[in-house]
Amino acid sequence: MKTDDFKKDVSLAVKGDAQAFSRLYALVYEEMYRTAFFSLRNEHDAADAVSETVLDAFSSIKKLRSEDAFRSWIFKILMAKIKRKQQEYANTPSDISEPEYEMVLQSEFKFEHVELAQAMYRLDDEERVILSLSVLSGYTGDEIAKICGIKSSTVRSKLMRTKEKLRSYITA
Amino acid sequence: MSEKIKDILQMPEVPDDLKPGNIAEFIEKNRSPKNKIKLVISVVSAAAAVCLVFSAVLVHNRSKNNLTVLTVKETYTNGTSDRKTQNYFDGAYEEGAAEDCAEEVEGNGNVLSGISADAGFENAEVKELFDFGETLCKVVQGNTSEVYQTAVLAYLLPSADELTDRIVLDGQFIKSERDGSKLSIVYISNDDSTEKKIVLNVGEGKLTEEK
Repeated sequence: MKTDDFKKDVSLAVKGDAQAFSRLYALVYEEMYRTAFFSLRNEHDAADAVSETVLDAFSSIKKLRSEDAFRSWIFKILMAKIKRKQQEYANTPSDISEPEYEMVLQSEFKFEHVELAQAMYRLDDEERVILSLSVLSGYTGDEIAKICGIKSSTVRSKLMRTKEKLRSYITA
Repeated sequence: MSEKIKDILQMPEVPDDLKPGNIAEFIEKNRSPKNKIKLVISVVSAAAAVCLVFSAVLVHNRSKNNLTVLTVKETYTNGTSDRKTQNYFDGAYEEGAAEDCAEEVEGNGNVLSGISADAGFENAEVKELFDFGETLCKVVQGNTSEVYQTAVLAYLLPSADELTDRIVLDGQFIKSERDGSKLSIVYISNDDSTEKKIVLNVGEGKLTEEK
């Protein structure tokens, strides 16, 4: 999407144009869903988190300070939803479902994928969020820090430790 | 390894409902008046539940021939109770038959409208009550123009008849906690949908934000 079209869609969305909002959403929806899926480990909650984010973002897009910030702004909302659901899991441990990584692997079965996917799902909530924002969405340490509300140095060190952890899980 | 991780993360297919082609319709559906109807039904159901509880208390007290002294307490999750409740219901139980639920419904309406007037919200409901000895704090959630608002209302005890101070937070209530003379409120900000926390010092019917 060209910058002019993007800005035009933001201003239309601010006026309540749902079609314009859906064009903006088209730029980020895959990353949003996959980040939510990986962080929450189940399809249903990932879909809930994304749909709640869509409604919140649409109703509060007036508060978006700069068009350029759309991507990180909507991810920030998504992160708040994910965090909230993770807190709900923590409060009701009996409701935690098994990770659905088997489903992820159905379409393209490879042993190395199974091993890595299992290792990835052994990471804790924060590690999975940081890893998906970094690897899938390509955010820098500073951007992840802003989205998650933690220090940049913490993001960098956590990311490094997470990758080391994955290596050790796989080679163990 | 990053590439392999990316391969795995890119695998789950996005459900059709969440694809951009269906999002405009999804937004339109969720803006419909159905939501308002659901909210009204919830408030009415809550009112009916409160009515039942008070009816039970009234019947219980009448069966003991003890109509002149009626102590009605609403106990909340934090272990405190609403001292004002009795005032709202004074008229209802002294004049009417205990079995007549209509009067309690009216009384309950007074409770809700009282809270709403205090907070200036629509559909206000009390989330928590805290008794600080000198000050009674009500944490209330409601909305203004369909946007969630949370308010902390302070009343000077022991009478607790008049609102003495209030703080309104622009967002949706999550939880509140008391620590000595401090009250912390966690809410989701309307500004950026992130979780925020405000800590209030409570005393003599006043609320002061801790910086």
